[in-house]
Amino acid sequence: MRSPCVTPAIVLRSWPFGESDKIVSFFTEDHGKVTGIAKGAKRSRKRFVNTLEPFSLINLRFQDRPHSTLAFVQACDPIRLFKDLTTSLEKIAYASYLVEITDGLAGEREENRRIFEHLREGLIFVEENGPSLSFLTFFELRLLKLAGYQPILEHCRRCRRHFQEGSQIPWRFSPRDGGVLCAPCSTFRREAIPLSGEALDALAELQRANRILPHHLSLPSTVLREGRPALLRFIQFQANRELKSAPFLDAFYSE
Amino acid sequence: MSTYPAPFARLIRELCKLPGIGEKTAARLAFHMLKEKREDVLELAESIGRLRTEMDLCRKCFGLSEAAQRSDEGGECKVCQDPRRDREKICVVEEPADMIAVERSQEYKGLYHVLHGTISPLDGVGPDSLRIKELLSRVQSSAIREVIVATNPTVEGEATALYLSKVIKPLGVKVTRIARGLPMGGDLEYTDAVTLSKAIEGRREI
Ligand SMILES: [Zn+2]
Ligand SMILES: [Zn+2]
Repeated sequence: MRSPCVTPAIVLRSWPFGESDKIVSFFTEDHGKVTGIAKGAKRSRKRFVNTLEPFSLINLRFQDRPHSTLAFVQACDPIRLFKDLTTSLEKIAYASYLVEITDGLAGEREENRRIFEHLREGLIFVEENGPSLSFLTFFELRLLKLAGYQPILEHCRRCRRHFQEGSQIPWRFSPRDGGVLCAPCSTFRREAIPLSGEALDALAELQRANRILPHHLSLPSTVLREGRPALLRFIQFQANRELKSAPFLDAFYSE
Repeated sequence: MSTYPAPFARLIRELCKLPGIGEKTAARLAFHMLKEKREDVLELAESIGRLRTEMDLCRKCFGLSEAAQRSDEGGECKVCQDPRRDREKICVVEEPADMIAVERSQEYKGLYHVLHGTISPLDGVGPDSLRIKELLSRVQSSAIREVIVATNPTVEGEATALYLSKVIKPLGVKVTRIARGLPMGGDLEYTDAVTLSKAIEGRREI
């Protein structure tokens, strides 16, 4: 057996396994996404108390097991439990969405400290500031970039032409082309999502940002209305799965 | 498994579908049944068969109930039928097993409502998939004055409690949450009776 690894980690989610165990997936600082089995976690009130709930930031000690893709979770010590994230439905919905898209876009055991930092800061932001669709849009764009799926927004993905300022004809965002297409290039991509010049500019600017700034936090409603479905479809395309927490953002929409 | 005779292998296959039972345990159980007295094994088989015909969900609280024997019977559980229970309180739990756990604490004398799940954004489970509509109509159509939310102290349990408070409070009914004597991530079903009765005593308004 290899020696145990100790690393800060954020709990993405957990499932009951058998009578008394849990399968838990973490995003760790040192090893990327790690999925492991926590023996006795469903019943034991001592070993994993408080630490295996989604969004918890903990110090994880785990050990790889021979012939198994599941690590053995030895111990979890709380660093920050984000207690205020569970004080409102909206915060729970947002935090769930942040961990779900991180889970969807990150590969198992692909070390990526910047994604870990980004998720940690995202959860802190939601805990302290409450729900914000503008923040969510920033979070998605930066996560896509850190995970290596940055969509092309500056120019047409096919012919590389730039958007003509003042043009009234919308371009289209095409998830499977990995970015926007100009009007002529998108003729045969009817499923692509229309984006106005205003939305394109705002999203491209947000994509260049390394951190959220106050003026980013009030994206115009047209940008949100056009940009949100485009990014959601793109993330689902890249993660190759439906995002179950996404409808909960609309249901509790409160911006 | 092909090394076993067909009837034996069939039983093992069925037993393996049960939670927490692997092939080894299943084989051990099957060997045990072979050694048992014939009447005892038939008794077990009959109890399993009768479980699904004689048990039902209470049509009022959705807890476990003996199935109505005649069509004019109400199909209500013992708690709902008991005239001594306090009809101004409803304790909301996730699963039938939680209702039994709260009953065991002997602290609570009101009625129950079993949701059969929790709101869970990560699993895509929203309020419409639970027995929340039925709860609201019970609250609206009877003398209920307090709804005690006894969902588990997990993220999903909290989300459910917050949602219930949001939709029930406007009806002019007090909504309380059982106290956090229970650790976050805990499970009502495995909580001892003393802790649970303290938690009900120390409930707070939400
Ligand atoms: Zn083009
Ligand atoms: Zn009942």
